[in-house]
Amino acid sequence: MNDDLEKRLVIIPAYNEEGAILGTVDSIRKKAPSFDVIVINDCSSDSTRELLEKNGIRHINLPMNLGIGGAVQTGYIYAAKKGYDVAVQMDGDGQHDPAYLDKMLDAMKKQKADMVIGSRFIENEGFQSTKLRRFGIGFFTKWIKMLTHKTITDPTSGMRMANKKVIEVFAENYPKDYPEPETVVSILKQGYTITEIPVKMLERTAGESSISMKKSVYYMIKVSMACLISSWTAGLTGGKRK
Amino acid sequence: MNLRLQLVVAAVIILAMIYITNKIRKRQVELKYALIWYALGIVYLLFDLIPPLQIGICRLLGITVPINMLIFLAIGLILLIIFQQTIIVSKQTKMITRLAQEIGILNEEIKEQERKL
Repeated sequence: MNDDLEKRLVIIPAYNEEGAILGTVDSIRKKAPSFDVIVINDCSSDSTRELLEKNGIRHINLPMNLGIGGAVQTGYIYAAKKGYDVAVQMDGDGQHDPAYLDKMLDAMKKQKADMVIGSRFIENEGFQSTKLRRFGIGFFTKWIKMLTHKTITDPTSGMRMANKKVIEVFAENYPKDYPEPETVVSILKQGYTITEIPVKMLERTAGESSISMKKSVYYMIKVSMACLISSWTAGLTGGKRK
Repeated sequence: MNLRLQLVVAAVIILAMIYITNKIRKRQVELKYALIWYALGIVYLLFDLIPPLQIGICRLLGITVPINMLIFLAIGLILLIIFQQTIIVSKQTKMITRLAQEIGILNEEIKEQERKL
């Protein structure tokens, strides 16, 4: 499977995912055996930690709850430290199908992309999220197009693959909460390339979305601002570092 | 400003500065972060005790009642201090996050070593 001795890692942030985490890890081992798996247990209060320990799944226990951004970044710091060539983040709730990992890898190689996003909205198949959420995502697609002149159909997708350069960028700097759209802008503005492949997402098997109705207004404002500011910041630092 | 008000303001400032000094002495407050409070106290004391300074600045800013100038000044400086603290909190959040991440990774590496032994 892994013919060029490339080191590949799947990062799974997990906060109270006792219902789905074993299934998620299992299906990665079956469908994408060339990838190592690391679960970042973000100080879960359920039995996530015990499950991971009992089943011998490699995991990092964070001593305090850092939120999705801090947890995912832990994975990227780990990947950078251990010299991984490719790191891919996937949700622990069973929404993302690991069968796409090899396709993402293919797209990364063939299109010489620094980052690959699994997008629900290229072929519009599978679980499409609610109407309101789709509207929000559509807004971010337009907003990111204005800021970077690039079209990213699913900027909020939590299924994304990074090469070595992007791993290092993320290890150094990663937003605390709602990181997805902001990192897209920041990566593009730093001169890296992003490509998308169509994926079908499943409805989550357990747990619930981190973004409730109440938080959605805050989410839209915060993320729009973050994208805007991040598009200026990258310009200031002069962009692509090799 | 009449003498009574002047004395009340001076007394409050001096008490506050004694309180701050005591906190620093007990190592409950970092001198680094207390300096700006000292600066605020001294500026305030100067305005309070030197009426010509009061009147001059009031005229310059178009303020008729000197105590209003003190209040205006206080709000401005307090906003400045609060924003400084926002900067400190942001910095510390980042540092704590990094610490937690490093501790998590180190723990995993220790376990990994133990498994190998």
